[in-house]
Amino acid sequence: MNSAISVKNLSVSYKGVEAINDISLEINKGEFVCIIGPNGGGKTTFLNAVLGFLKPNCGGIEIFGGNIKKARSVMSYVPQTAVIDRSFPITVIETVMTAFLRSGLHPFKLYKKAERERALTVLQKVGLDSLAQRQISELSGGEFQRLLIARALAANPQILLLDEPTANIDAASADKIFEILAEINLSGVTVVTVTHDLSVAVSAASRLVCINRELVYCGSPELTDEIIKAMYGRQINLNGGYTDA
Amino acid sequence: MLNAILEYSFLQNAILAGLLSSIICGVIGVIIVEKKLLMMGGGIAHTAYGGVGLGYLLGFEPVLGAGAFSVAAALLIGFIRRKNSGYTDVIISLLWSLGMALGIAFVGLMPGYPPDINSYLFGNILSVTKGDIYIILSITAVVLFSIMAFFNDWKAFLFDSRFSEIAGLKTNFLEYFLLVTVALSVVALIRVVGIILAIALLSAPAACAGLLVKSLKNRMVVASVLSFVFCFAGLSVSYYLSIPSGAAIVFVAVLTYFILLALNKIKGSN
Repeated sequence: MNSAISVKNLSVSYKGVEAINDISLEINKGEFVCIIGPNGGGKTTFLNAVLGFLKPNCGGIEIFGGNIKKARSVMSYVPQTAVIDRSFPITVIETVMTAFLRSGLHPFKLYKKAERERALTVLQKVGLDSLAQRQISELSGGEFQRLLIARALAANPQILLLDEPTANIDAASADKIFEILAEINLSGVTVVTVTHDLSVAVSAASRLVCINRELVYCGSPELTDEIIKAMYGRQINLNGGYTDA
Repeated sequence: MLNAILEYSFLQNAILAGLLSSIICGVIGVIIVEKKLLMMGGGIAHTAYGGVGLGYLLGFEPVLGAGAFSVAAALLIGFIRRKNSGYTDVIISLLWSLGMALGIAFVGLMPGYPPDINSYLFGNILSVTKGDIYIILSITAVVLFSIMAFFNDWKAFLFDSRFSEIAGLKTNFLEYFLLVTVALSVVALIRVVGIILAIALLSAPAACAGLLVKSLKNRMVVASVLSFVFCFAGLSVSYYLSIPSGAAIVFVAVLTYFILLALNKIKGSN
């Protein structure tokens, strides 16, 4: 089977309002998919449904042919940085090691040497190994985002889901993050990321999924004027800003 | 003061109650402050007043009533939070008021002169009995063991519960257990500083510790020590100035926090 995520006729409501309606798509193993669309278009709702946080009104989602709850062990997740309290007292390496706490509870758990080494290895992959003992409150926005990616990687996922990993960080940091994601994807991990950054999405993704409550487009990463207009209601310059078209 | 402690058993009980409740304040207080659950803690604490009133009306131990009401409130709040309906703050506010209203109504329904239940509202550490000590000791043991045994699970859950849920951690259990623990902590603090002032003793030492040390574990230790210092210093102030002990403890705690905050700001600006 080549399908990693199979979505069929998915409709999901969030706080009583239907956020996405009748979406069907297949994401195959090893793909790098960028989900784009306007604010309120249902991108994050879609991601939350795939993660099993929101129940569908109708339709369904399968991960590697099975149900979501059972497949969570093969998925990992990078949330929006805005939803995480960065003043929480935890070090960089401790944050990564939380990924090792899987299934159930872990009474009197002490992290083993091998787990510390594994955490340092993934930190090295994202260029944060030298900051391992720092508190997360001491990290920049870009560093913190890379830390969340490192934590997700430590869980050794087959599918990596990210919610706006380049939000609120500078362009250089955003490029660095997409470079890291491309490397992760090359190692065989299916990457699915929600993003507002159209130019990066077009250059990095193997496939684009455009959602504006409904599936507007799903295909190769080439955005035509028609697709952009269907999503945003107007033309957008991929290098940033709106055009007067 | 030391002679008085050696001489009077009520002062010994007060010191012991202060010591045990300080451990609770240090551990649970840090969690409440870091997880930003102060409003919820206040709601749970004030709901307990309904249980106190019911205890008086029906003739059973008011602290048990407070425990039952606060645990029920904690479970209800947990359920509403899990539903993610957006009504959590409203429900907490309503439970807060409802608990107080029920307490007043239950006491009002009692025949004859109503009892003085000020000690439940504002605490009276000097009136702590051996029975109260056993209750506080049991709660302290449960809190301390559950946090120490599952410390890394708690840390992961408190930092990012959604990630932990995907990883397979029992976040549902941890969330409800945390809320019930907050409820039990409130019960332990009722005799020390009372329902209204409990939130100050849960938040002030933890907030002070947050200004002094970085790691979660150290914050819990420092907050526990500070909490005991506040209790002891408050008792001393109460002893020498003849003011209610609960109020004196809160004065010391709040004053210390603002002094530390000012020092922190001065240090930060230099």
